[in-house]
Amino acid sequence: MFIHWALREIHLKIVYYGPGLSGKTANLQYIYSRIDPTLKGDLVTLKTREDRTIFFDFLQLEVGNIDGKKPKFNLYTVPGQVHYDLTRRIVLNSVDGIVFVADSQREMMDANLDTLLDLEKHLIISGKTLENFPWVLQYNKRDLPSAEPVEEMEKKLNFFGVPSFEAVAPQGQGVFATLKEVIKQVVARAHAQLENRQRVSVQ
Amino acid sequence: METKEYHSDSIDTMLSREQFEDISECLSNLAEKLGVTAILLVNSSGQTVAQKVRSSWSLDSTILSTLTASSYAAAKEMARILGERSNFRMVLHEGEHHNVYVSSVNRDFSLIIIFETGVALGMVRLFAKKTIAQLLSVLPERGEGIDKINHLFDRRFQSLLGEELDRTLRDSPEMKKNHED
Repeated sequence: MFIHWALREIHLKIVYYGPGLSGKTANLQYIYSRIDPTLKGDLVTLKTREDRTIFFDFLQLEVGNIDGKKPKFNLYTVPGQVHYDLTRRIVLNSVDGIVFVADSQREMMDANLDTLLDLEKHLIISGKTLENFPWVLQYNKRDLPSAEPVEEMEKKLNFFGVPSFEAVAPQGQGVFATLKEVIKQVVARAHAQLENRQRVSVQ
Repeated sequence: METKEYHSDSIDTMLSREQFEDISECLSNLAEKLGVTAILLVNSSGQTVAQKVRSSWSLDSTILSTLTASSYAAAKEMARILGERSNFRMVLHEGEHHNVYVSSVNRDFSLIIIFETGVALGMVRLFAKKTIAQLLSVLPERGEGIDKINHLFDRRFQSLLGEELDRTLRDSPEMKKNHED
């Protein structure tokens, strides 16, 4: 998180993480399509010729002033394909909150878990861990006939009991609910850390 | 009194008004000496900290900062793979009309200079080096100044933010109906 006190800006970085083709870019595309043009920048997508994310997608959005402060949310996706491991680590640099976009198709359960473990590996390198970091789960592609029951996905992926959302990202279902929750988690954690810091300093 | 260490990693950097003014002055001096098109100071997650852009030029600094910080982070990984002990000292993009010079200030900040191809690269590097030395004396350390914002994200802020998010992130009426169905 970066606080630009002179401009009263609060910058948060949210990264959409998940296996290839799970719908990370679709989340950003829906958000971009629905937001008031005065509150968003351009949607930047760095893709291969085959239309797959090679580096990241990026979208900055704002909300109105809050007590004279301007929160700005910088949303990124990572490339999901296995061989872009190093690229994912670069995009995770200084991340404040994560949306893990899981693919609900039954045959994707191993890929979901592998990617979640891959995320934990990258977080640990920067001194973080999923156990005490703001993140939420999104079970995307709920409209597909081969979708695994949510209860099963919860057992397989949500071992820390983080907030989870069912979604059909291209249609927008669950997209905003997911984003709102991860932002709330990030802010609540920052508040808790600042309060603890103050408590320790007065002891 | 028991001494306790408390680690707060939620806030990477906090920039005060005084620091912003000092940084802006450094960038203004550099812009004046070089006559360049744009100078930006960005942090490692790609946010613009300060900028000086020629008034006749239109620049999306948000996206430029994001792309530059990412490309610089990619260069750092390249350096690591090649066995370099630190990042490349600079990254240069040469264009038909403009060049982009990126140099690390410290582990948290980079300096971006966009200049017309007629401006000598040597001169850009020389003055950039001097500016970086000045910036190092005014940039905040990690965690510096955080004690002034202990109540920034209090319950009231969180509640107002929730209301603003509800106002901004709204599904279309058709979508709401589909969800209810």
